[in-house]
Amino acid sequence: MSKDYLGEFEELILTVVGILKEEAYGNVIVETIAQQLDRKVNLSAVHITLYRLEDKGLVKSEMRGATSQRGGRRKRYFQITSAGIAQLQKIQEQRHKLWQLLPKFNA
Amino acid sequence: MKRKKLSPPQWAIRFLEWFCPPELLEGILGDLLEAFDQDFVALGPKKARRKFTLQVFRLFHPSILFRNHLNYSIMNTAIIRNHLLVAWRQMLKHRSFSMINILGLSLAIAFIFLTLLFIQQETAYDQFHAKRDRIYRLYHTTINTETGQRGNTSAVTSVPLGQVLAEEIPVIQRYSRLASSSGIIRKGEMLSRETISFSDTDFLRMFDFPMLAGDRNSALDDPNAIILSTELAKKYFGDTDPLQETLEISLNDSLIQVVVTGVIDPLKENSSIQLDCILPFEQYGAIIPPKMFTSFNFGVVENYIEIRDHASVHQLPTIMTTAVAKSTTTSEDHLEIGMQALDKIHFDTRVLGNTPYTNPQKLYILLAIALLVLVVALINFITLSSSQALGRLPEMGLRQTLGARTKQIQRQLMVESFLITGVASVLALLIAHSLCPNFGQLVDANIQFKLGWLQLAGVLALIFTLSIISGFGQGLLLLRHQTSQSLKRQFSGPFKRQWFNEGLLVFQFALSIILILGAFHVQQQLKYIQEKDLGFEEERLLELPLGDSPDQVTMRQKVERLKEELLRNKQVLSITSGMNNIADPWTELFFKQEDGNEVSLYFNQVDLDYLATMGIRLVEGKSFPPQMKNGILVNEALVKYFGWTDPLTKQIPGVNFSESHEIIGVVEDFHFSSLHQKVEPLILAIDPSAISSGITGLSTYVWPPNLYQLFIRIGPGDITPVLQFLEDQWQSISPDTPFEFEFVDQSLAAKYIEEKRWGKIISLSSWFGILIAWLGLFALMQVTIRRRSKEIGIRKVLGASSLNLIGLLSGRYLQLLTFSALVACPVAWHLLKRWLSSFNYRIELTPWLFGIIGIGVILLTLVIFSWQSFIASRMNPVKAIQVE
Repeated sequence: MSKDYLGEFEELILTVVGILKEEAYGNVIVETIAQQLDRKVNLSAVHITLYRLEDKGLVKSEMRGATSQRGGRRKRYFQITSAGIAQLQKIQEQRHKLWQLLPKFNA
Repeated sequence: MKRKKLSPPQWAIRFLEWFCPPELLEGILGDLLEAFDQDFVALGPKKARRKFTLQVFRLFHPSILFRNHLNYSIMNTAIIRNHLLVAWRQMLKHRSFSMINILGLSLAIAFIFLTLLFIQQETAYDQFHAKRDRIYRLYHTTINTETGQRGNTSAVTSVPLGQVLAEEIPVIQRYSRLASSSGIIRKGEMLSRETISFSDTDFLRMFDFPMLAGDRNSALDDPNAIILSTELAKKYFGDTDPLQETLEISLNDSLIQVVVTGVIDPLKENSSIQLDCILPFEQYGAIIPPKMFTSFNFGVVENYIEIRDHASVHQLPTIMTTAVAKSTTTSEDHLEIGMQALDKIHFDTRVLGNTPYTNPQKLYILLAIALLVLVVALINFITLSSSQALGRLPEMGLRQTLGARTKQIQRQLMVESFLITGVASVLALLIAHSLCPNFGQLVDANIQFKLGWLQLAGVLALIFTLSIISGFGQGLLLLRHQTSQSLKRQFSGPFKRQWFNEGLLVFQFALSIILILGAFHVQQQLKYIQEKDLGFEEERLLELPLGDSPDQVTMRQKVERLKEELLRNKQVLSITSGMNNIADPWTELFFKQEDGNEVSLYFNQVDLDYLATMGIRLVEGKSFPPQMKNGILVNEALVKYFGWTDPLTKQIPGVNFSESHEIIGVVEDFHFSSLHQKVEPLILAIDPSAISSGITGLSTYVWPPNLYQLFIRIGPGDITPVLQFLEDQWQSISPDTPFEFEFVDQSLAAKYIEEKRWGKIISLSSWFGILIAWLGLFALMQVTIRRRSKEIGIRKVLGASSLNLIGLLSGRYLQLLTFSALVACPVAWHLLKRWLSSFNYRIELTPWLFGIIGIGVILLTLVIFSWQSFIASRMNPVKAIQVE
């Protein structure tokens, strides 16, 4: 798994899924990103990325909670897997390592 | 109504439901609806709907679409297998029917394949050179310094051209000459004649032929170097490394030793420049005399230049012409220089070098024909297949009852079409492979049959497209029936739209009849031309160029000597000489008249034996007596032109004549130009000074007047020994002029090569066209017979004989075919008249011949297809009328 590199967007979505613990689904993810980072992302892009992450085994999903608001349709909730957490950790370590090597410009 | 606007667009939802995999649909659609509700509150109904639609489209993405695929095929492999089985059984059950269908389709596919192959190969020429937009080939036009007459334009130019221009003009970065000659390469015991190319060192830097061995920057530096093509390297050295090996080459009279310094891949299929091996240009000195190396007047090589940039590319030709003018002496012809871009060389038909070329018109015409063929074949195929499927309507109905959805049945039909198209394509490829060389001959191009990935992909795409369109089309045609109706074998709906099928039939037959009429008449015209009396004897007549001579006297002496020696051979019947040869246009002279106009008359300087050798007849007067200086002969056309009744007393009118001449005879008109033009007024003279004073202008290929051609009439018998004799004598009498000869009848025939080729193409197309038209008729008849099977059954029961039924069924077709013939004849008439008008001597078009051919086609067709009606009439009426 360490051979697979995550794109920036994939990493972002993965992280947000981790943040939302068990409450992550399409629309909520979009809202969270908008709130936390002031960044507008597309629902369709989020969905596509989620499926890709699921293919890679970094998240898992299940259908829960129908409400009348969605016309009786259930939501697909995503949860980060341990592999996903491991991947995020690895990314952080790598980033930190390189960050240390950057020459620090004195004020 | 208001509710509609308050919710997301229904069609967007339907679209999503269509392409989204079911297991994801719920989650995605749910999210979208939730977002819609939020947007509705925040942004209003319109914007919310827009955003919704936008999101749906953005979800139309491969990563979602492909998630469909897996499920789809797993679900359907079983059904597809069943479809294939049924399709296969169908095909076997109706063997002859399927064969006809497949054959028709494969012919069409083969033709399209070859056409596309041809187009692909022709357009790929020279595209592999990286610098092709900066490389040009030079061509020159000779302008006679005395007469200002523009001579030939040719890309075969002089040796110093590129070199001098590159030195003078800074924007020319590199140049290279390219020449070729035949030589004998020897290695050890192996001896073989090869085509040797000669080039400058920059050649390898300008052109991107891959170098498989050796360094392109230095391979030609060694004066004794040779670069071999991969083919030759294999031929002489097998698998061993040829670098640094030696070979012996014999060029003309010299024998040289060369060292292999490189191996090159000549990419022969895609390159105008054909290479087998390359020697440094200096070696070309063994082939041509030194004066050709420095003179601008002799066109012997191709010159290629590479320019730095396109800044001044439009002025370059003028700059080059000026530069050359500086370097040429006044006695040489004035030259105008032009340049051809490398990637356009292959399609330029005006300016020719040593490279193969194609007329781009051919490509367009062939492409149009291919498209036409495709459309017609497709429609035929659909018609045939659907008429076939008609017979299976009960089966369809049954399937529908058992729960098959329309889409599935359509899919079944598609699979069947796929099978048939697949088989047809395989057959088509076999046909294409075997007919490829014939096709190449037909269009006069070198086509290689290639089945690479590109071609396979193309064929697959074709198969898929055909299957889908055909399946879809059949589905449309057939499935508008209600299930119950299908089971009861009632027909309705689309088949009432016969006009489409019938219109197509009329079109196909009209086209075929036009082609047949065209082919017939083209052949007639060509026959006419070949057999037409030219006014002189063109058979067993040789024409030999005599080269140059400083003056008339020397030339006459040479001719006399030749006559003396050559007439010794009993097979040599007679010899004469003349100024103009047979193939090129003759000298045209202009004589200014009193009223200021110029009269144009043709002219040829001849000797005393001209009329006898050429077989030209005199109608009045006599031929040239010896020693007469100012006598001339004129032809009938000239007499008619001036309206003379007593030509022997007349003079050619013209204000400038200072001396008088005498018209001593009138010759019968003979064709000295192609039969495209009528016979013009002509003057024959022994001594041009008889009329030269009156000349005020001229247009000619050869000047000054002298005897440039020798004509030899050979008697019956084997030609080879005579030719040998002539060559031997020639070598001793005229050693510095090469012994070159042409048979006059052959050089005349060569003028009509293009017409002959088009004649062949039209003939073949007419066969093709009628075959396809017959196929169309077959299809239509099938449809009609099935449709009217009940009617036929009833009629039989009521006592109709087979003959009655045949007449009944054929009646409609007779109508249609007659209509096609009536449409075709005027069109063919018009087209043929236009084509024939380019010939001054042509056959006449007779209406009754048109009628006969048209009727013939109709009768033939009906006779062939009456057997089908016959089979229909033998159908068991019980089966037809039975209702289950």
